[in-house]
Amino acid sequence: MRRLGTLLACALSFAVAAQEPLPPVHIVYLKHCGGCHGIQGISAPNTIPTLKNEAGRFLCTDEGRRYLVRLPNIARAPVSDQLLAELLNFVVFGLGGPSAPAGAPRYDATEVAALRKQPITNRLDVYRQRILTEVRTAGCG
Amino acid sequence: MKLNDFDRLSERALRGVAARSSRRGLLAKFAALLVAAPAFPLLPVSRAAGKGPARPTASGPAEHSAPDRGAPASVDAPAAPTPRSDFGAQAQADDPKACNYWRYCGTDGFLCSCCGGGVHTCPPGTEASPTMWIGSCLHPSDERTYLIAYRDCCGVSSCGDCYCNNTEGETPVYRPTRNNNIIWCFGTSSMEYHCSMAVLIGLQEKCAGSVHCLPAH
Repeated sequence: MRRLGTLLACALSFAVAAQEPLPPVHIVYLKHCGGCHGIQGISAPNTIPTLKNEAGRFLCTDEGRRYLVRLPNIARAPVSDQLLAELLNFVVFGLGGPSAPAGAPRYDATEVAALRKQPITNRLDVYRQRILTEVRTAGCG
Repeated sequence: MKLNDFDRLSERALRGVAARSSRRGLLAKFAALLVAAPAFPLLPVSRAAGKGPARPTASGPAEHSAPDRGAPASVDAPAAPTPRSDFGAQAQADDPKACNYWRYCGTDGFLCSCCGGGVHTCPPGTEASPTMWIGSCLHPSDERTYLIAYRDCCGVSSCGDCYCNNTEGETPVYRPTRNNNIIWCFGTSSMEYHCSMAVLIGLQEKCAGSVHCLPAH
């Protein structure tokens, strides 16, 4: 009987935990980024960059780190500097997982505030290729 | 009229008032006014907000559990509890073939549930798009707001049945990530639109429409 009670208690606590709201930064990711990049960070790999286990590699170079914040849809996202920093950390360290280099510092509001004032406005495709080449040369991806 | 005449007239009037009324009586009337005032809302907006909408009952299962990756807790200031929208006031949770089914609060298109599929399944022969826009709808019975993925089924010409045009949570086309006029078939083998699904992907906040509960964030 006691075992049954323990089992019921466990099932109940699991049910309650399953009904907890998602963390706020996760909700912001889903509403602003997840539609295209995918709920788990993967959607249509041939047309939309995969974030899962990949987004962190941009932190392997200083310019790659800056590039992520300067992407037009990131720089101009309708969220505060603080929330944007948390969103970037969620993407590169959370979804990006092991792709982020060990010891890479997290983004903060001050860094993000300065970089988002300089969004990329010209030939994003060419710039992206250069960044990716430099990241690979640095030993990431 | 001379100033002295005016003074005398004023004095006589004031003495008359003082002789006919008491300070206690005046205080009692003022206090009664203060107590009674809140019982009579003066503005029509206040009276309209006080009318509660009808609320059908049902429950909703989750089809997709999004991962929790241990994100930091601090974000922008908490939002105040939101009143029900026009859609929310009419929403129901019993009939997924009707436009006012609660998950369709942002649906613009033909309902897959009328086209041989379901709320979260594509009709046979069509392909579910890997891209979508994500909004949120208030469940009419449990007062919680859920994240809903609006996914299109593609590859076959338009279904033509059960057209709905709800707009809750959509953004203008210059903010395309949550625009519902876009055909969300990116990443499929064909951009031919057939119908729209509304996939439940997680809980956004508890007690969204109730003043008795604090919002979750």
